[in-house]
Amino acid sequence: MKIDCTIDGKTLTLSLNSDKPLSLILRENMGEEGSVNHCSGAMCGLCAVLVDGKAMLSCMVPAFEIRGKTVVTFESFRRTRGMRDIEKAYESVGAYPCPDCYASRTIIFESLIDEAITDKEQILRELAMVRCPCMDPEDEIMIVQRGIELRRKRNVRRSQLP
Amino acid sequence: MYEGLSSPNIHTPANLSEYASIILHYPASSLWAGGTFIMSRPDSYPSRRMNAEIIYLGEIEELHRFQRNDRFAEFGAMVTLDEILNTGKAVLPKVLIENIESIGSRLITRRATIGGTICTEGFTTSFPGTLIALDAMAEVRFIKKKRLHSRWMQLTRLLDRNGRIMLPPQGMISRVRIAFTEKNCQYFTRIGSFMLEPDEAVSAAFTGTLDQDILLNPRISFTYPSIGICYSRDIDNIFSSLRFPLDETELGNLEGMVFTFIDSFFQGLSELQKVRTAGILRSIIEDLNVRALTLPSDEA
Amino acid sequence: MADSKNFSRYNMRCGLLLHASEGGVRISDLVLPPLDARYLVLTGSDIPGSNEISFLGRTMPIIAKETVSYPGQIVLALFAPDYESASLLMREISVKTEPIEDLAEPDLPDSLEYGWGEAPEDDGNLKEIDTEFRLRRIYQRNSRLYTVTAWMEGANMHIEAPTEWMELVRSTVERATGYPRRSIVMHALPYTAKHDEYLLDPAVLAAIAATATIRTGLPSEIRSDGVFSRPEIIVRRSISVDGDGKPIAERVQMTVDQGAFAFAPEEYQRQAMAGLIPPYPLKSYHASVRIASSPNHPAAFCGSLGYSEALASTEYHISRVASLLDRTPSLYRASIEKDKRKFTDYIPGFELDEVKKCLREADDASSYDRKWSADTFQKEDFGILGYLRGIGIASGAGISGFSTTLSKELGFSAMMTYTQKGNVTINTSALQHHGTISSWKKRIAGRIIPGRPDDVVFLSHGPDTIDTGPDVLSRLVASFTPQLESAARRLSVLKDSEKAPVSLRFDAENTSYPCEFENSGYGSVVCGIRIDRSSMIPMAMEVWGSFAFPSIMDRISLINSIRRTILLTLRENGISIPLSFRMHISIRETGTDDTVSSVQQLARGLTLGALMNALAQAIGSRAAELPVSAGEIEKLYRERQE
Repeated sequence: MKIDCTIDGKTLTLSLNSDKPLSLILRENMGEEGSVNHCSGAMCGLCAVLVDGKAMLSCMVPAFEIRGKTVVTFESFRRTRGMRDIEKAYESVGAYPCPDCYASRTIIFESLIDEAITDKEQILRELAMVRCPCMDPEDEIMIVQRGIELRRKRNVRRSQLP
Repeated sequence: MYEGLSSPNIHTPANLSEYASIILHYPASSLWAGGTFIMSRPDSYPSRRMNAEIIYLGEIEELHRFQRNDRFAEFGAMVTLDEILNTGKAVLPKVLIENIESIGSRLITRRATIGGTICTEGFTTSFPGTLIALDAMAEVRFIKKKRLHSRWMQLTRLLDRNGRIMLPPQGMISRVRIAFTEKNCQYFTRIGSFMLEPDEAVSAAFTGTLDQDILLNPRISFTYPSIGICYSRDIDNIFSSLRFPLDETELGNLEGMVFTFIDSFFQGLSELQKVRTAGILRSIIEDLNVRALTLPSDEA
Repeated sequence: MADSKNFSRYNMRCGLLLHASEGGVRISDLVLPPLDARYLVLTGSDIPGSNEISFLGRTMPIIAKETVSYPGQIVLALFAPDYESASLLMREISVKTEPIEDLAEPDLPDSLEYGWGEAPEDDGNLKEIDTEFRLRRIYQRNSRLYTVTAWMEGANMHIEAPTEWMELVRSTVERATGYPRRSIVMHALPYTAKHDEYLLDPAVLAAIAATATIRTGLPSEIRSDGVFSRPEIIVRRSISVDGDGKPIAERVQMTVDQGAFAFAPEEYQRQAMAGLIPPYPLKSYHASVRIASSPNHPAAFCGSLGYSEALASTEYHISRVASLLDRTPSLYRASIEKDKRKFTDYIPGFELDEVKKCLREADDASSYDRKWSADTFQKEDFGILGYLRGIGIASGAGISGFSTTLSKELGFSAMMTYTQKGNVTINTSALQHHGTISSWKKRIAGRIIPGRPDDVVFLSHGPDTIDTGPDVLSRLVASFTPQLESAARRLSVLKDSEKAPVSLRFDAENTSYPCEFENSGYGSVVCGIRIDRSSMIPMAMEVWGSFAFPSIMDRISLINSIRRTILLTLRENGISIPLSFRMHISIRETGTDDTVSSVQQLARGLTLGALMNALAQAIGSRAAELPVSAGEIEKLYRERQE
């Protein structure tokens, strides 16, 4: 089936199997093997992307559901200002995800920071989706809190510009 | 190449009458709600069935509706668990909220729908068990004499002998009605991962009103993902006959009686599931004991 | 020469693997669906050259031929125009097998024996204590999917793969396809290997993909998920202590079941032996390390080649002996250890003050002594499995890289050249990590061409690349760094006395040590666990760690690396990490000239030891076995109740 969508800023018309998971589309058709995994139901959580600005596991999104939607993967997100906030938060807390889950965890951090989620349990629930055991809960909470703080400061600075 | 061979046809009805005409034309179609369960099966892609027909319910406006009055809340089958949490956290029963929160990340709850979590094939999520403990009703749509009919049914009536939710052929759940309960004791517990350890995981939902030392209208259900839901009026009746606090002997007797019923329902429970069920039962009773002993006299 | 793939996916073959479901069987029949010319099936007999992968002196079949040695072994590869078709057809393939009566034993080395002194005569004052440390096999499919691609361009065969050992990929493809080595062009993909899963598999996949490319004339891609398999280990110790609890003599027997094919077994024995030697003095010591086999998936490095597990067994042993003598483990340890370790053939006689300092720090931070006593008393009151909490401690030193013996045997090396243009070039296959290379460039430039790190060039990978060996056990970061510095020092002298270009070939391993391994890096870990009574899930509550390293280049990276290793070790051994879990890690710089150790190997060994000690306290030493699961604890609980 023909599917019109926007992936990483490119407007595309893809000829795809209607139920193909987005994770495989990104790996095979967009060449994003490094940042998107496909675990065939092992619930690894290493395939998070932003679909219309919301974090989702791309292995659970079939091709027919991305019609007309905007998909942002880590490959394009890493070049945004949002990424800089998260990098600064990693740096200031002194902890960062391992290379294996860096992309997916960063996307989830972004969704939490974007929505300014401060509830500790909710933060940990969201991040527990990534099954890579490289970060401990305390650091994850601190990264989100710091990220929200940095994002607010940046937004205030921007709103103060003439 | 594969696309020409086996790419499923996707039908996206915009309303229930369109749905009816599609299901009449393609009676063997699969229904697709949020897709979280279907997509997480190891062999889900590529589809085993050649030229499969899929009806995607996400575009049916009626299934996204949510309404409430002072007695109950009514959700369309395609309302996501995250939407339920956002719209009704303050008013909905605690047991339902705890169940949704136990599922975890919004990466899942944003996609999982209330209808989809009830109607999973060969697998039972923790959700229908909780709805049964809340005595929820479901509107079932089914085809009879080439017409789409609807009927409100208690969820317990959809449970088959094996503890699975069964719908009539070509049937679907379009709405779920949950009554606002005044029950002062509500517990939801899940142990183990339903998706990753289906043979070890267990969940239980309990609702009841503790009035002085007795329980009024108790309902308890146990869910075993790869087996089904264990719910029986007989177990509820045992709870009704209890006087709290229970001592260790009474607790042991209760455990024995409950397990007699569970064993008559399901033979395939693992030992770990039994121990976990007993653990959950004990923690519910311990909490009820505490409440029975500490509730202020006007409440107790 | 193409630097990357420049062909369409529509003009490519996609391959999937069929893995055996059981081992120790003979393939009696292979039933394939009808396949047209667009499909290609490769079995063991379709590999044109040698159907073997050869590494560190051992060989293993690429695809099983007639016999299946272990579950998970590759039985065939199926290539199709797309993955969907390959996957659908793969479901129709069936393999019929029959058991093999007399399974051929793989070639295994003799037991490695080491020791000193004669066992003393028992004059009635000696007390003998036996302990047993058991690690069960771990076999997990890694959920990370990775891809290897082969394509031809002119006379060259291009291979793109994530790999820890590029030269192994090249040589395996050469042997399997007969393609000349010089015509095989490697393109390395980035990877992270928690369990060294990119060591052998990429070479196997590359050989299969290259064969498919030769057969079809089309680019071929193959994808698979890795496997992590830890060997089964049993360490039995028997120690004689005098009336004061002072160890006098000890006998150790370690058996390691490496599965169907032995993985560097001689090196495993040496690494394990280094970890088995206890830090306290003994009049008599005798240890043996035996490698065994079974029809199971061959065990791989898993971040350690026996040292971590052996160190953990030693730490477990010390705590068990202390408990059986009714002494607090940390205090008992302080009472039996001297200031310096005994010099042995495997590990030097280093001063123990840094280890003791780490132990004290972790002990104080965690209130270990108090908690250990409290848990012990509570357990006595509540009986077996009544009080499901435990706290464990472990401390020790790290090692890294391969043993002196293996380094001499293998001859992995690299070459540094001072060119006529005044630049420095390095010919090595160790080109994996961008961060490490920039650090190396700075260090080398500092010795030879100060202030010009950009003029230090690591030659890109090509047919003339020198094999520096696999990137395992931190050897290409830890051991290789001082060797590069030493070579740079020597080259800076040579460049002034000889005419450019001046080249220097140096070993990729330290071969100057008097022992098999050099100690470096010290640490101590305390781990507190709890078993939830209703779910039977073992949970980590808190971990405290104190580490000391000769030099710390990047403190944050180092702490992160330690934290990750601890969390990974806990999780892979069945311990769940609740939201309330906390970890406290402190690191110190000792400022000595020692080599940098493998942080992962040390942290892994100490975590394993501390965890085993905590588990023994929580559920009893006879049941302590890792990995642990809720199901096993439930079984134990039921048995005790019955």
